Amino acid sequence: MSRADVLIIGGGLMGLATAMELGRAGKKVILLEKDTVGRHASGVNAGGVRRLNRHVAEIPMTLESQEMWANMEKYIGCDCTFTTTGQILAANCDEEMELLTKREKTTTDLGYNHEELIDGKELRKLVPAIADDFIGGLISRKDGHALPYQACRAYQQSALKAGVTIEEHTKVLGISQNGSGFTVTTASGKVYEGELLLNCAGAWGAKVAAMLGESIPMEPVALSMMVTARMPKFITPVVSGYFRPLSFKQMTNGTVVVGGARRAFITDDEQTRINTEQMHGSAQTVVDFFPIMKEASIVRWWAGFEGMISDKLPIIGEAANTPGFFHTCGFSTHGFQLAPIVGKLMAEKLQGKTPHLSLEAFRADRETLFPKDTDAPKKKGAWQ
Amino acid sequence: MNYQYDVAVIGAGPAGMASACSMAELGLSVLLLDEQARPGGQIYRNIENAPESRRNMLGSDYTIGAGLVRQLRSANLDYRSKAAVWQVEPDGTVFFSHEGASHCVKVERIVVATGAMERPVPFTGWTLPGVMGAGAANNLYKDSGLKPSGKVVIAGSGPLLLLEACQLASSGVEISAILETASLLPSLETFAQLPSALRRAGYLMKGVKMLWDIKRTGVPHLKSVKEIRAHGEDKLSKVTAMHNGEVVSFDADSLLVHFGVIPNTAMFSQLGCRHEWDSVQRYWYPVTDAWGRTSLERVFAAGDGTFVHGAGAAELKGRLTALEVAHSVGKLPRSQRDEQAALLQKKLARELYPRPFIDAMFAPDVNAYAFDDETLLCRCEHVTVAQIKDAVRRGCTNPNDVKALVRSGMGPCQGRMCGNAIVELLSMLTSEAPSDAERLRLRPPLKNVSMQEMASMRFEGGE
Repeated sequence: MSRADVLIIGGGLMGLATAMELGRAGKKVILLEKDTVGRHASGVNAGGVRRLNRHVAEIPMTLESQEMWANMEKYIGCDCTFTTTGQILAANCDEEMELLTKREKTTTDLGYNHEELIDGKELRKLVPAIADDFIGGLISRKDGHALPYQACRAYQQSALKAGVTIEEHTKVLGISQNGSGFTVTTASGKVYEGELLLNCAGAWGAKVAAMLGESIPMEPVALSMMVTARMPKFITPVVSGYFRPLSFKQMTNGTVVVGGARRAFITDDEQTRINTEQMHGSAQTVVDFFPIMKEASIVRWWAGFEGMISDKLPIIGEAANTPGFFHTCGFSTHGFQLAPIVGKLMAEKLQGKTPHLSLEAFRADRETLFPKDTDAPKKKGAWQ
Repeated sequence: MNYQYDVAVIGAGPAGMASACSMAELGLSVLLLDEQARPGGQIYRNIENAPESRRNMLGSDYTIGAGLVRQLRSANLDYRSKAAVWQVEPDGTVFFSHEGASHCVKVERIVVATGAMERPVPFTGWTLPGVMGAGAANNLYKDSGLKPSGKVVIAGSGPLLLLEACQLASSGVEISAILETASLLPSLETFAQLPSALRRAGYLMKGVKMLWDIKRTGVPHLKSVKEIRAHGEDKLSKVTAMHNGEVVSFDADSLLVHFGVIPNTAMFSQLGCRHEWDSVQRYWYPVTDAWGRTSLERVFAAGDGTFVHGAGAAELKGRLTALEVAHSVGKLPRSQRDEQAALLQKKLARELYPRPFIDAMFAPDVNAYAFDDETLLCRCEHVTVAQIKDAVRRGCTNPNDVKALVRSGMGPCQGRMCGNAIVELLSMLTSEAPSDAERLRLRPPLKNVSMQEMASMRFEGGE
């Protein structure tokens, strides 16, 4: 039997980042991963490193995380191909422009200055390829993108260097709590013990929580993306849609990566299967935003598993009824950029310190997760 | 559920043509989709248009296909040439691109007859102009009578390599050398398969005659060759290899390589059919029952795509599959299916007698591959052997993790060119048998689709 100070379930970016931070702080950490590291949302997402238009509760974290992305080479020995390009929410109707204006006022009033309104002229200067009917947008100039799987492997290597034990192909079957912590049984037959237990199981987060009787209102979803053949460089910033779901970026190698909350099917054996009709819808959005894309050649589409929480905010904190059991999961499609800072904050928490940024809004027992009145209609928007 | 056709057949080679025709005769509504301009697949390529001189040169193994093509032309079915299938779903949905537009059809059964392909083996210089597959050279001849000019070196392994050598030699092409990776003497395992093979002695005699024909030409024919490399600045000028511990070198304008034939499993992989690894011929093939039914209820496989057995067997497999498909959609009673199958099964068994011997005789020798660090493994994404080795050092031990890190297999060919080689390289580096390792996952679409085509395609019921 192997024993650790902290047992982590899930080898995505959150688990790896927390493990590395704890390892560097001298803690004995064992991380259990059912497949291989970064195999799901962490490694196959569209790679946006975005502060733009985040929930206000996330802004302090996203700002500090951005600093970490910019210094990744120094921090973990790999820059993860992080590139500063700017990110733009583009509007093509007055209603969208009004909402963006309101949003900009909200963040400015709170004292933040990373988001900035731009008019049609500025938008066209930054994105000449955008369709004629776009009238402006909201920009965060220092945002960008990185390579997700490269980031996962780099964090893994850093975690290993920090003394963390990473067990791949080790699926957790059961968890029990006893006087000295937690005992975890796995499909490989090995049993692990830990004083503290951290759930970083992503789309499987609710499943892991349920093993200790904890409830998380999470829906596992598979989100699809597509990539084209290489094209001559025609766009620098990442462009998103507001009413129409789209995330659009040209990578440094010339390929164009398209995402945007398009769901794939989840098969019985926990694989994803693309919904071709959704890809058809995605292609329509793409050509409407960027007429130049009509001639683009689609090389591949794929999907990754993600855990969607009912209020679209992650759960970062101690389980409601099980002391010593913690969650970092349910990032609801916007966890990639946050991973570096969340790893740091959770590591502080697990060492018994008060995290240097508040995690109160992400408590596992927050009211919005279990609302009494569920009739309130949800406003449709890109990120909220 | 409304089906637009009883069955869609994908591929118009021997298996596809035979199964499509048989099913049409049995009263099924059949959609036959083929990527090529004319029916025949690779083996009977352009048979309808080939002039007599070309037909004579290619011989009866080629001309025999004319009958099947004639049968297809008069069959009562919907045949669409130049149709590229880019996605197939287990529920019977088929997506394809045809004449600049993409379409979606729903069928009750699917017969995948996408055949086999030359085994791509990366070696130093394999992307130089002047280096090509022997099968590709053969296709150029079938299509337009093109032959390589200048000095030609032929290298690799397999019966088709020798066939190509014979045909080129007799058509006056200047062959500098034949470099065969197969060993001088067959192994004991090979001899164990001989009794079965002798039941088709005529077939073996064909092979012996080929060897005699080659010997008569006086062309240097080296066996047990290793580490084939192509050299040249902007095009091929020289081919080297290791032979008996020494470097041999030949000036060359063309290098035709062939390392045997493997099932093209792309569509089966995309569908999610169960596969098994053949440890003799070292390839993945979709598991099927005697009728060609895959692990998916609605999906059948016919021809060399199920396992490489040659054109004769492919046609028979296609006809057997047709019977079961007809039965499964209620158009052929079981008794009639079995009655009609009996003779086909007997013929197929006879066709297969020599295969284990041939497969063992020409089993690929992994040790013959050089895998130099600078060799390009994934041509689409320009990934070298060294980059794969580096990915393994960074903790990636299966083809999918390696792909996610260095992009090998992420390009337009979806790993068709590098997939098999990565399996071999990883197996060498990790000492894990390919059969125990994860398979390279293939993402749709199988063929690139234009964004505009995707945006404007129509789905059932419209939008």
